[in-house]
Amino acid sequence: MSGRIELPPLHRERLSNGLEIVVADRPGVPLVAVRLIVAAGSALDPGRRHGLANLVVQVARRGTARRSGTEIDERIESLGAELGCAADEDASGFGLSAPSESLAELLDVVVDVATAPVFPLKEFERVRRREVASIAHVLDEPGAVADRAMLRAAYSDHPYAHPPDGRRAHLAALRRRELVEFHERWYAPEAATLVIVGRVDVPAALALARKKLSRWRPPAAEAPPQPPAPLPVERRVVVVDKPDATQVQIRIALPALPRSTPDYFPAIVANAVFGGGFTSRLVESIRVNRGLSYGVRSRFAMSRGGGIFFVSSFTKTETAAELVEVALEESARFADSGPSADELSRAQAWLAGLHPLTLETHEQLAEKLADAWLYGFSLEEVTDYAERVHAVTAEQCIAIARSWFPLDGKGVIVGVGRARDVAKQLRAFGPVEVLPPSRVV
Amino acid sequence: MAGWRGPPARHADSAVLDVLQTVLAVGESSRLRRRLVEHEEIAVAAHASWAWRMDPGMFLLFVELAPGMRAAKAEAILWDELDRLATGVISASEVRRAQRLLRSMVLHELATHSGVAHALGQAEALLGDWREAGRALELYAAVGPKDLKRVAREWLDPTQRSVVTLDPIAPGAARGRRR
Repeated sequence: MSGRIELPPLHRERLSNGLEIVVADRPGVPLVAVRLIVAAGSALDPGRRHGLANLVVQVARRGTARRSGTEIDERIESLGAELGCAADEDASGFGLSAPSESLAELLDVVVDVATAPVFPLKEFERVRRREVASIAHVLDEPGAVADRAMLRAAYSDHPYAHPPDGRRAHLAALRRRELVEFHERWYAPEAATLVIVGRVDVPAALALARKKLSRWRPPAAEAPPQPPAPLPVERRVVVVDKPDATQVQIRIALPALPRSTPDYFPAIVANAVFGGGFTSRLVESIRVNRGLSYGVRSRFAMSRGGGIFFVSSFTKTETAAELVEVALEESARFADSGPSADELSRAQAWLAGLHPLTLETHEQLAEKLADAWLYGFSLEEVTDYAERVHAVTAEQCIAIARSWFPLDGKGVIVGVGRARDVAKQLRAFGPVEVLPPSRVV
Repeated sequence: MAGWRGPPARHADSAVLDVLQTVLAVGESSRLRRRLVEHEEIAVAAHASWAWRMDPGMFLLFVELAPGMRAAKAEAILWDELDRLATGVISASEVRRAQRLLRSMVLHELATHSGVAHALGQAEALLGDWREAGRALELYAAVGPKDLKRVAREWLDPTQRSVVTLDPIAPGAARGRRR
């Protein structure tokens, strides 16, 4: 059994403008990871403007008052780093990892792009064209189409119902002014945190961060709101037409838990037994015993304001109904009798054994610290992970399944494939809605 | 996708090709990304793949086109960039950028247990001595613009390349072309 994880001492400071700084000196390779995140993600995209938050973070790196986009790239890369910029549903962030000696220069660029971007018109238009083109590629990937249709169906009108990269028509309608406004409104110090992890001199790193960020503006009037919990969904079927598909991508999904849930550990253990690993119940019944698919998995996707539980797989068109039936039967069986003692202990050992690997690099620890801040979970969940995983009982797993698995007519079923055949296969499960793929891109 | 037969891992040019691929296609300010993705907007992605092998390896370049763009035009730009590499000017700062990125990459590999194991195993299997794993930085640091030009000429020779173009033409069908 893996034991307790010792984190390096964390040095925290809250600036008068509300920004939180966390610095950790960690032994190991002479690298440092820097991560600056703002609690403003795609859930704040206005209606018919899906993809705005992502575009803001992508264009921010393309120019500031002091540097052009090209200069930013050259500066960062000549220090041996690559700048990652991304938005998810809850946050937008800038991150990089590089040799420790360059910390001051790297921090200077990261703070510059996050706090003082100028959104040059030409760069905005170019990045928008690039994003539109990359969304078009989604149409070539039935699995990606299914994931998008699943969010839309499971979250219905919720702010998490659209993917962060948004939709082509929405991006096309955006104006530069809207990026500027989004940044002004939501990128505020009290909604942000800076995490520095690696081989660093702590007092020097803190002083540097203080100097770079205390001049960032005073707190905004309005903090980014947290999305509400998603509403339950009735069983229905959504089919996305891919006339050229030879297989069907299947998703079964329903609203579930936010990341901050006190049931986090029972949920991940129950899922590990049910559909998490390669020896899960779903793999056993769908892949091993019936040969319906090469792969099948389930997951709790947890965000700030809520989450979903979903099953994901693919199969031949003729066996779509059978696959869904087996997955639903397995859900009911699990909710009825839970994991065996052996299954439970195997899943616990698997999760506890994997955990240290998620904290191996400076970047991984920086991300975990930023996540703890964003989602509001305690760092004891990180240090005492193994103990908490092992404390989960079969009864707790049953309770999780009864609340969040697709039982009793709960959960939407998504099929992506040849619409007529797929609809025929899945219509026994509930009312069918057929969508062209253009509705999800 | 364009490919060339490269040297085996033990060949001194293997490390030079690592630097070359970084100049060409690693990072936003690499030559192919800047030209194909940023300036010409003909591609959504461009990357290189050069993996050390016991026997001669493959140097590969991949370009993923933006919707509606013609492969022939992307190819023409690609060949132009390779020609520029072999015959034009490679600045010292460009080489330094690549060396810094490679140094950072080596340090990142050594940041995980599996990365250390991989580095030692690769060196033992491909170069015959695990101690060689510690020499990567030294090899990269020794590379200069002249080496890059020579290696581009010798290994990325236009008469030796194989090109595969995947053109989706109809639902479920694709046409391959090989020269």
